[in-house]
Amino acid sequence: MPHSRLVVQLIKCKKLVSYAYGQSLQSHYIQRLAIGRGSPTLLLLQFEPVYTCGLRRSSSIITSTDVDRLRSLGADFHETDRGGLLTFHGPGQLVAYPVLPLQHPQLRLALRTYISHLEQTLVDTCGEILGHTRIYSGIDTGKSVSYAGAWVDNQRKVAFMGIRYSRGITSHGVSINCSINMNWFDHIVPCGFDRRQITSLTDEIPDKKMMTVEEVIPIFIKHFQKIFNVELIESDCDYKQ
Amino acid sequence: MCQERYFTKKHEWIQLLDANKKSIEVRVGISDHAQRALGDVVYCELPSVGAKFKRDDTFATLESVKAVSDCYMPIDGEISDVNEKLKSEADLINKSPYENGWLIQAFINDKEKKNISSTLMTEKQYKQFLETNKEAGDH
Repeated sequence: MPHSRLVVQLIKCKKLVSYAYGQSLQSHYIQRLAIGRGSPTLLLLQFEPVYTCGLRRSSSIITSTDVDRLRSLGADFHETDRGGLLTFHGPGQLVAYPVLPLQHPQLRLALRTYISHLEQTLVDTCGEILGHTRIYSGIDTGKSVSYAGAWVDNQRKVAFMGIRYSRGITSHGVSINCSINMNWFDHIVPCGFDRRQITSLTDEIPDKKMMTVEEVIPIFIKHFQKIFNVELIESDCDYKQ
Repeated sequence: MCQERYFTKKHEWIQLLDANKKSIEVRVGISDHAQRALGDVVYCELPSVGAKFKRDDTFATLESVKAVSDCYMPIDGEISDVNEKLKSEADLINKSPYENGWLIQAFINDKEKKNISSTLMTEKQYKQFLETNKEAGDH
């Protein structure tokens, strides 16, 4: 018996924001949802250049020397409590944070199902842009954890995932390399992979046509709504720093 | 000889260990349902021995396929031991959630010991709870 679709508010940040602002913004919506006063939310953002690491941050992954080196390149550095390893966020990369109550009666998703739906959203979005036969999902192809995301020609990762699930509410999320300057990825071992295994939508389109975040957003929204069976309604950002 | 397990709504289990000493000790882990819902666990962050937690506090975090999620204390307790094997073999949680994949041990007081059977679910009650709370995509 189909249930009516959950309404999720869509918040698009119009300008580049700092990573710190992005986390405060996300926390704002999480807290409101946690006390029963907010709405499930999908945040869409672009960050000023920042490198981030996840829960796993031993010295085999990143050292304080590494952090100094990355900061000297003009990027910020943040530790986070999401899954996944090292990555970079910056202009030209779409970041999406679904803040969803997975146990809500209109959702009722196990964590691994949520992850699978999110990966499918990435795969369908990138598939619509580059051609569905070119895009592979990391998890479904039976590989290990680090592979979660969307892969072009099963060789180069173009979309990434790193989730946090706490007290029934999801946070952090996904990113898609649209027209980002790929040189930023030269300075880390992104997601634990060889730099050559990371790419962007623009780099994969023949004759160097650019694919911007603004062009990717409506495609991402369409697939997100369909796969999660929710209704996205755009709202103004009501959080002031 | 081990006692029966009790379960929380958040899918943790708790089990009294042999009470032959002056202190009452329990073992805590996550259920088989929980490990299947998480997927392959790749990393586990456990508390320090001596850390004190109240019921419902986050005492550990688990990273599975691209997600980090929390484990919640079933009752008040003080950590007496953590499963060191999980540092190098986090997927023991998937392979053996009730035996080798246990998470922590804790000292509890008499009041909390009584709370286990009065506030938590028996294995049978937990199975019924799972039946009536099926999530979409559960297998």
